[in-house]
Amino acid sequence: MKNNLRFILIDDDDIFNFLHQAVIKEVIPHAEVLAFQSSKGAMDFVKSDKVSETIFLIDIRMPELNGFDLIHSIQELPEEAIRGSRFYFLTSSLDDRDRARGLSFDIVSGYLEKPISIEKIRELTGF
Amino acid sequence: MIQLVKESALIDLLFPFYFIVDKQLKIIKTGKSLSRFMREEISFEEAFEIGSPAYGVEYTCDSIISNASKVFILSLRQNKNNLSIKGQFVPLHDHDQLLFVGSPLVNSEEEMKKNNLLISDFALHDSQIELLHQINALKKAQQRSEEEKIDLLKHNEDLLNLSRETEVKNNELRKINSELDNFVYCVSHDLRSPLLSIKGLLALVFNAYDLNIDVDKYLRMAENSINRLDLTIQEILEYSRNARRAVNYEWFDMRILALEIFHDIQMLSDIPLQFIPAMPLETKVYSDKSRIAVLLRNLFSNAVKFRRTEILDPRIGFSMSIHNNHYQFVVSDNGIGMQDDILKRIFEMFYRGSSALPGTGLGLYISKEVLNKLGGDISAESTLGMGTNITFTLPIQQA
Repeated sequence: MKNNLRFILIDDDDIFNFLHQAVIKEVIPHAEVLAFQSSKGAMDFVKSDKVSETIFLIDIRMPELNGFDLIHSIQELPEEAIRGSRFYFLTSSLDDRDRARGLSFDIVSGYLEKPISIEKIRELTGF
Repeated sequence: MIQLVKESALIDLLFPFYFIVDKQLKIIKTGKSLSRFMREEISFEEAFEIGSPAYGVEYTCDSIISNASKVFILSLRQNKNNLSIKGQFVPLHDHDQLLFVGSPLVNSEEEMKKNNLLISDFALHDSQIELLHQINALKKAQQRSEEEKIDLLKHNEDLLNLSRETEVKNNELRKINSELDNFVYCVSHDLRSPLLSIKGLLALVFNAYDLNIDVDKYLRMAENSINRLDLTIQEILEYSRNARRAVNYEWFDMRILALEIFHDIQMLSDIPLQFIPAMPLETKVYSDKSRIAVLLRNLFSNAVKFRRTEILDPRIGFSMSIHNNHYQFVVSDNGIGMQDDILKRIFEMFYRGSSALPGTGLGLYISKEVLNKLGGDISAESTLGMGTNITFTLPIQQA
């Protein structure tokens, strides 16, 4: 795993953004973590910047554009814009329909449950 | 006929509307029925208008006698209901008198009623009255069938309305169901979300700080409460999911599913548990995998929860056997067991057999509901201090 690991967190609940950032930093202190409270903000960033080699942790239930909508838009982007990035849903939803829908997207690597644990971050990054 | 006239009682019986006129066409005698409609001592012409024959008959004795072979229809001038009588004239006493024998001419029962006519007012030989009766009977039958038809139509309409109502109600119910599903989904999510963030923050605290022993204890207690609340929310969601979602049949391996679930539970519980499966060679079943997973998770976690803490080898047995038309599964444990009075209530909604251990009282209720949905059955036997066996069946389904 590369040392300059970057995470993008998208969750309308800022406590989760704070919490997940803290958990990531606990495992990888030098990781770059960006947090967005809306899909729109995240999408604007993704469009304006290259986001290669980034791990996305995306909440599903958010106002305006939900996590599915966001993944949908990201899928439309040219491949080089997101090269080497991985996308995970990170949600408190227990609905297996959400899980099935989440995993039906080609670019989505997994469906994780909140709150993310230190072990899970280790598993995802190999740290 | 002459003889008849002498016996006026008899002629009254035979022709209640008879009358006799003399040579001057003065009415000298009337039958008992006709007399209800006219005064005596009145001339024939004053009393009657000859309706038929329409031509060629004058109001004279001779003219009538020469037409005696014809049928006469006479309408009663003094009757406001246009009552007519129909009959023939018979000359009497060397043509000194004329006898009219006839019967009222009516077309319907209503006309009879209007003139207060009775059956006894008709000539004894009169086929008209029978015809009238038949017509009447026909009319009544027609009326009845008409009424029946209306009844049927009404009944039909009622049924149609009912089925329309049922459809509307069905749609409403479907809507309510889907709304409820959404509602439960949103509520469970919105309740769970902040709970999980507290849980995560607590984990962070435990990880990051060397805590004072009291603080650590209080925070662990808080964590326990959070976990309990989360479990309740999850079970409520599970219940509503089982109740509302359609059964989704698929092939899956029961042995593998049981192992996976046991593995998950063991990871969480941190207890050296033994899992002893006793399975047939073929363990693939055609059923609702996610519902069976809920069921096994409930049964296995009960076995863990109600284990005897003093023993060193807590274990869960899981056996499967194949019968004629169903599978039988037994989840057995060597746990604390229970008394009969508790045992018989464990499948009730919200029933908890022990206040010492956490629980929602929903697990076995949901398990029973799951098996209801899948056409199976569940039962339990237990010995206090020895352990519990939960037996459930599933129908063998063909894909």
